[in-house]
Amino acid sequence: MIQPVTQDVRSRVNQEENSVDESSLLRAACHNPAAFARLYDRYVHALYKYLLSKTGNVAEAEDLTSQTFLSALENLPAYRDQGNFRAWLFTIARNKWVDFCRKNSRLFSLDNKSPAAMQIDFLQEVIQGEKSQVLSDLVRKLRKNEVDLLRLRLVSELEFGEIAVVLGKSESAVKKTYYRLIERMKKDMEQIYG
Amino acid sequence: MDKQTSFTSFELELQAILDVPEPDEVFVQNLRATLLNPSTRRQSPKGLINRSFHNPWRWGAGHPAWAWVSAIILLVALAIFLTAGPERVVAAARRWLGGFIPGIGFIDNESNLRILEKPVQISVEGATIAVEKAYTNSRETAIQIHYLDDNRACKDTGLTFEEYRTGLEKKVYLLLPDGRKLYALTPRFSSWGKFPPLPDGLNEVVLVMPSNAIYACNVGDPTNQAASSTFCQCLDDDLRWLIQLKFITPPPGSVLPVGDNATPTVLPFAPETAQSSSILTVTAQAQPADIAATPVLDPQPELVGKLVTLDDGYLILVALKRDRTASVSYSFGLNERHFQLSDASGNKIDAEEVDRSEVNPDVFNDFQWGDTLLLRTRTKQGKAPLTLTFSTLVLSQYQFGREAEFDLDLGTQLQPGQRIPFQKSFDFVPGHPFTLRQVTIDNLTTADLGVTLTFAGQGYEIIQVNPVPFPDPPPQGGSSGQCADFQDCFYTSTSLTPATDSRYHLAVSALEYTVQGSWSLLFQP
Repeated sequence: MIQPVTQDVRSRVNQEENSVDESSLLRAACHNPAAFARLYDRYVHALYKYLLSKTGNVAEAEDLTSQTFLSALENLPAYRDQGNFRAWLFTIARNKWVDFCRKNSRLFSLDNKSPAAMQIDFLQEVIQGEKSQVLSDLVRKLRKNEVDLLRLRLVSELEFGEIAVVLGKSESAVKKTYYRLIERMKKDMEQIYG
Repeated sequence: MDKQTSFTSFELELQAILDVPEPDEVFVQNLRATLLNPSTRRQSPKGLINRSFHNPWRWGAGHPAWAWVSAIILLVALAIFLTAGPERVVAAARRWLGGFIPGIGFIDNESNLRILEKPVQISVEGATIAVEKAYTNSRETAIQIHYLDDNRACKDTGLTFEEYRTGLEKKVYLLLPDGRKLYALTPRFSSWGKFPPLPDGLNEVVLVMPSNAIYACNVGDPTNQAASSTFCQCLDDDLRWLIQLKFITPPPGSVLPVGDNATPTVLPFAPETAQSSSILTVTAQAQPADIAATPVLDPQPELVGKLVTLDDGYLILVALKRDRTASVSYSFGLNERHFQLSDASGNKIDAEEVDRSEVNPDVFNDFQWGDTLLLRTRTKQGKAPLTLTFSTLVLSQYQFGREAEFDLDLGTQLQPGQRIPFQKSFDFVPGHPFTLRQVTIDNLTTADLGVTLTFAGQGYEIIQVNPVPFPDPPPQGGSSGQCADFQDCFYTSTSLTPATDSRYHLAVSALEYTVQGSWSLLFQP
């Protein structure tokens, strides 16, 4: 039996900041940019890292991050607080990415190296050890939407409900897909390492 | 991040693989200042950081090398076309796009096609491999190898994965009677290994493979749990697999129809969507032969598909054909490693799954079959019709005709790692009961109680168990899969909110099962 090992994962925002009610910030942000800045501080790192992991390019990730927050700020009055502002933000980011790919003919380009591959390339510098190398090789072989799911969960640390909003799927479907993917990768690793 | 997330050790390893650097603080502060300043916010997004998109793919942006190369190739092709004559060029193209024997290989009347006379199997020091299909024509030799078992005890060479792969193609070759070697072009034999074509008239060769051409091997006693799998040289180089292969010209009339199923039924869907130019929707049924061994809810699920022609490829929709009046509702999952798209000539066409959000929602207007698998090709090349085949379907069910709820009393003195036996059977799927055999306490925190529920029962995998009432409190996720505690068992992990009286009420909300069979969907672009 595989025993899940629970470990705390770092939280990038301190407890005091987290304790501020997001709904209050959202209401205030419509009239007060400073309130929006606090939301920005809360999510900019995770959002940027998500986009960097997709693009593999710092300049593009910065551009898309800028566009995402600008779009979020401009559309804030139309946002209906449903308790998942972060999911809404990542949905915008993902749409920006899709738009970017369409404009640049990248999304379905056969010629271009996939973002995942680019990401892996520069990650090679920090990946040490054979096992990590094999694992990164498994990631490289995943389909785009599978890697995207892993990014949203593991890089951006979104909840399943939030990922469901971003991907336009049901939460249970996202969970099912995610855990099936994890299990498949585990089995692949076990086949190699026993 | 307003909530801490718990990951398993494997997820943390993956997280480390996927992790990327934090943003430059200068960028973060500049963007923050920009967002706070209404005057700068009115600039275009690109102006926010005074940087335009780098688009190396655009003409005029420096004319990247590949564009020039493409232009040169086009000019050369045009020159050949004009000098050699259109007829010869067309004839060459026709040879290149020859026919195909499904499951075997290409058919080209001008290419001197030969196929394997009969399957070959060989064992060397405990390892067995089999060559079941192979063909050779004027373009290539393709060989499909199945790895059957491995009882070798090998020594670890200390090779890394990359080192293991490096140079492998130089160790796998076809040995010709005159001593020449045709080295492997793609020495990965999980599917087709490709070699150069055999010379005309030469029908008997020896496939030479080192023992580690398949994959890693076990070190130590395989029956010992401490035995580990690694990359090793199991056999001396002189003791490689030598597999005698004999090719024959396929007898007249041996060309098989595309797909291995009965002729699909064409459904009368309206052929018009925003993106489509032509649509043919078909259904396909499983062959029942392989299904009997697996208890399933729906023993013969049918598939329904639709092809949409895009500017630069195809979009294929596949779903489970359901009885819409039945109370049972399916969600449809596919084991994506077991499908293949090919054209009428048998050429495999790469297709990848895409998200629903990435396609025009209008394509679903005439395709209302619930959860849909979306496959996207990046090319429209290939001879019509296209065939999409499946050998495995993974089906999920979220709604049941009867309740699948159960009570648990776990007691009050819980310890991590504690295993609590149960004997609770559920038979809400008639004829296929499964039994909760054990609850394992994974972790005890102030927030939740992590447990693994172990069930016995063949053919199922429970993919979600929720506390009742659902979704309050919401499930915390978990994992599921096969386990070794009991025969034919599976497990699922979930989190429970601590109860004061040690009693929990849970419900199986989703389960999944796998159906083996053969399905083919035929599409006419």
